[in-house]
Amino acid sequence: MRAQTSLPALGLALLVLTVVTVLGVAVADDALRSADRSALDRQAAVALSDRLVGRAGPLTVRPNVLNGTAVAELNATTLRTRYGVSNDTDVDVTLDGETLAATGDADGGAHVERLVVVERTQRRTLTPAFAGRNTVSLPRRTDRVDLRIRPPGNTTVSTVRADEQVVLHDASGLDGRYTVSLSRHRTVTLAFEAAGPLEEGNVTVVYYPVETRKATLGVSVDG
Amino acid sequence: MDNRGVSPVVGKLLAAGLAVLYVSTVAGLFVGGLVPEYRAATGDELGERVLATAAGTVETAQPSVDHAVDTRTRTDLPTTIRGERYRLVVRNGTLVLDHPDDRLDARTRLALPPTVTVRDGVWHSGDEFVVRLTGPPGNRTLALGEGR
Repeated sequence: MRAQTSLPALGLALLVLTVVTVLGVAVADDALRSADRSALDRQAAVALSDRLVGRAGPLTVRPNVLNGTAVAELNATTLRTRYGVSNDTDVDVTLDGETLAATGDADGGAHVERLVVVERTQRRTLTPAFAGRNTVSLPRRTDRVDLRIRPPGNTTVSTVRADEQVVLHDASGLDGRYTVSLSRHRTVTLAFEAAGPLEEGNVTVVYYPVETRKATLGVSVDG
Repeated sequence: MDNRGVSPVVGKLLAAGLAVLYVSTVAGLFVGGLVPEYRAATGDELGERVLATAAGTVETAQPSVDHAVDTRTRTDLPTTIRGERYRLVVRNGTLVLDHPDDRLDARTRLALPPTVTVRDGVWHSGDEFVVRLTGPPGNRTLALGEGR
């Protein structure tokens, strides 16, 4: 019985070796599978979302700020012509989960989300009453105002100020329609300097407040 | 003849032969089946990522200024995929990865603004990947270059 290589021991050793090899291959396979990225789809989704919210796009007012009316006009044809989506790629653009435009079924493709602000511009008219002083405070921020000044016969309006800064001045009297740019970062008080009394109806102010809401723009690309 | 002393030698030879047989079987299985499969899968993945990086570099090489420009954007791309050199070809607004092993070929469409025209060209791996953009803001031309 001396010095006999036990074949059972060898068999056991080979079995253990087999098990270890199989485990190693399984781990490697798992690692390779989990490193699978659809790199081309992802690149297409990121590039398209950059174009949609970038600086000089048809949809954007400023970077990451979308114009509400332009957003509603986005459709599959503009995606193909203006944004260069090819015919065999399925793209789905959503805003807060609702589809804005789609060129096919993009389920299972790469998905990219961007936080954006959607802006809608309204138009409001204000006729100041000029009860005490010749000033009117605008209730909303606006980036411009359209003024229509029709002074009564015995009055000349010489200067219009916005927050103490002169924006219109004519020593012989302002009369007619004027457009003034304002800062959209604060609400403004307009002051009218006149050489006589001003009444309601002499000045009409049209201002353009913007309404903003936060939204999530999603872009899915498959193919 | 006394056969009593032969048994351990035979036993050891048998065991050695068994071990060698086992190792050669497993090695044959690997080299014949598993290893080429994994090399193909990783080569495929690498090729896709190289193409995506190149397309990303081209698409983000757009300067945001309003006058005539002459810019060069560079990226480093791997010299070989699966041990062989490859080419990137631009044709008709599509970027194509051309590898000697045809299973690793891939293509993607370049999404560029309509004011940019892409000139057809070829880039060979081994140099830096350079994207050259020239022209006034309304009509820019994009071309691939190599190194300097």
